[in-house]
Amino acid sequence: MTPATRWQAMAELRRAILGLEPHLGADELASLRAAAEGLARPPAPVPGLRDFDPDRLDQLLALAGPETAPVLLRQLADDLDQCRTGTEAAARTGDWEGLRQASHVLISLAGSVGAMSLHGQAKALNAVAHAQDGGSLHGLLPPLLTELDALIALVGRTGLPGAAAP
Amino acid sequence: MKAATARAPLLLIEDTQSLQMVYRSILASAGYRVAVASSAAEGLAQFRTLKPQVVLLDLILPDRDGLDLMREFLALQPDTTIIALTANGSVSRAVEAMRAGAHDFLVKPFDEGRFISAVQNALSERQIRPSRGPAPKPAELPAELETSGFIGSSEAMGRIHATIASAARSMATVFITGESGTGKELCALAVHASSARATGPFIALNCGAIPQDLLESEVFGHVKGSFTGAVSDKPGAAAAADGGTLFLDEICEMAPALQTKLLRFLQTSTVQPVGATRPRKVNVRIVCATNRDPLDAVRLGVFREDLYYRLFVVPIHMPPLRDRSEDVIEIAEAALRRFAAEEGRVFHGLDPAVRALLPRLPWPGNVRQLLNVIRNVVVLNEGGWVTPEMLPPGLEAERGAPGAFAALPAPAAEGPALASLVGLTLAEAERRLIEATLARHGGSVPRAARILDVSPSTLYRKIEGWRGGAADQD
Repeated sequence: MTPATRWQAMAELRRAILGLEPHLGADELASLRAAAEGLARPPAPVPGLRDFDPDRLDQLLALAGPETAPVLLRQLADDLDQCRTGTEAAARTGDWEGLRQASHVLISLAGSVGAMSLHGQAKALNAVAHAQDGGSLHGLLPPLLTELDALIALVGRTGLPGAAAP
Repeated sequence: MKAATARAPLLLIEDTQSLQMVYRSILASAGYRVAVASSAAEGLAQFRTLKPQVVLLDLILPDRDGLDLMREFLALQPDTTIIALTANGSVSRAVEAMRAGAHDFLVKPFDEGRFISAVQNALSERQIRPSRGPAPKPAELPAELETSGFIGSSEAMGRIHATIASAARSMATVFITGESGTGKELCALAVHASSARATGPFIALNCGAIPQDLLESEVFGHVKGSFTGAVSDKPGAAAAADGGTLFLDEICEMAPALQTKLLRFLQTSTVQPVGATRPRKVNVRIVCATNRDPLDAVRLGVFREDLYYRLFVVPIHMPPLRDRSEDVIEIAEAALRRFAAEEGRVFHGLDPAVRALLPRLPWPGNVRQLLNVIRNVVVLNEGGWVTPEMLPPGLEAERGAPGAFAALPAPAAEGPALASLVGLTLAEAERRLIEATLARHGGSVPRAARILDVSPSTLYRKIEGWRGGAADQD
């Protein structure tokens, strides 16, 4: 099952339960709640990515639909890769404008796919670029690139059915 | 989720291809026709061809500044509704865009609901605003504004009216600052009255006057049984203002936890009443006000910085009356006409001595104090020309000498103070204390205010309230 179809199935299940709710007795509701609590557990960690919310990526793919989802994944990987190349090149040449642009895009992309730690680091990089703070840049860059690499790898794997899980 | 398809397509200008795909999918699945562009040049070409009603514009584009492009769109087609898109970290650019005429802005990443809601709001506002008309003039404002001190021909008021007019067609949050008594709520009402939502509700809420533990329920509502005392469902101010304007006065007094919820509300356009399981979408424009320096409140850590930037989009500073003394006579004459009509008296106007005196006074209680003085004149005199003798005693000496409220009733004996207060309500005890302090300082409100460590306008408001109460009893 792909993330997109899984997300759609979950959405349908939620709608079905909400529709049933007014007709269920207290015992039945309690049993549903117990089942939900049993299923509720923190998402499995993704190697190299801290604070990753897989639901966000799943939801993007569901919005794109089964036909467009693979194209979207390829485009996401390309865009993230461009961010990586742009960030590294701009940092190497001291191009603050380039860093601002690359971090601006990365803020949006990382946040949209649920890579929240990377999203926060991209925001910090954007602030550093605005302040032209070379000292902070060198401390910030290595962990950001490591997480970015992990996200690019994850997006690459997500293209294969059932590969979203680490 | 199908929306009414717009006649002209929406134009989406976003250079990051994957985001462009996502946004296009969201809009298409909601039933909108969408044209897309990946650069400013392509966007401009599409704009000229398609003449879209609504443009979703990324402010950071590879070939041109998005703000500059937005200005060109508005010059070519002033009716265009523009929603600025920007990344978290570049919110200041979005704020700049709102000031330059953008209708709304979205900070990436945003959720599907907020995205669609912004587009729906933009289109629905277009339906009630047929075209971008000329700036509303003060004379077009409701009569209440014309006679309540929100008038004046001074340069300062001219700037305020111009700002209100330029912000009228936008969803931009307006942040009004100014001392107490300067007319912040009237300014908020003017913003509402000048906007396309003028026929919608205007709901005002004073965040400083409501206990913090009740404020969440006042703003967002609650469902029956959600807490002790919630005996029935209550919609809350945000839901009551749906389709109109929500005015949050004394915003800096809001508790941090509720600030977080307000920020969420601004980001999602949804409200979730206390105890409710599902959020509800609303279409509300926020206008807020404070008599504090909001940036100072941010520095002190009592007001969230991100909320500040969300709210401080169109700032309006209401100047103290002493800084626009040329407006004093205009306000006084308008108030005299209104109060005389209400009281059934005939006044010819202000005599030359009064016209010379009033602009020279410092007016620490601002317009509210001036209105009180005129009300006092009208209530205590039969009519004719308003002469200096009709003014409350000591008004001229407001600049430090015994003053305007010397004529207030003398307080009860100051006596063995505490014992005499036992048995009174807190409000009664407060009134006794204020009256005693005023009496001790010859009726000078500024002096009494200094002793009591409150602003003069607070005292004027309380005195006004007591008078109102006395009038009700008569």
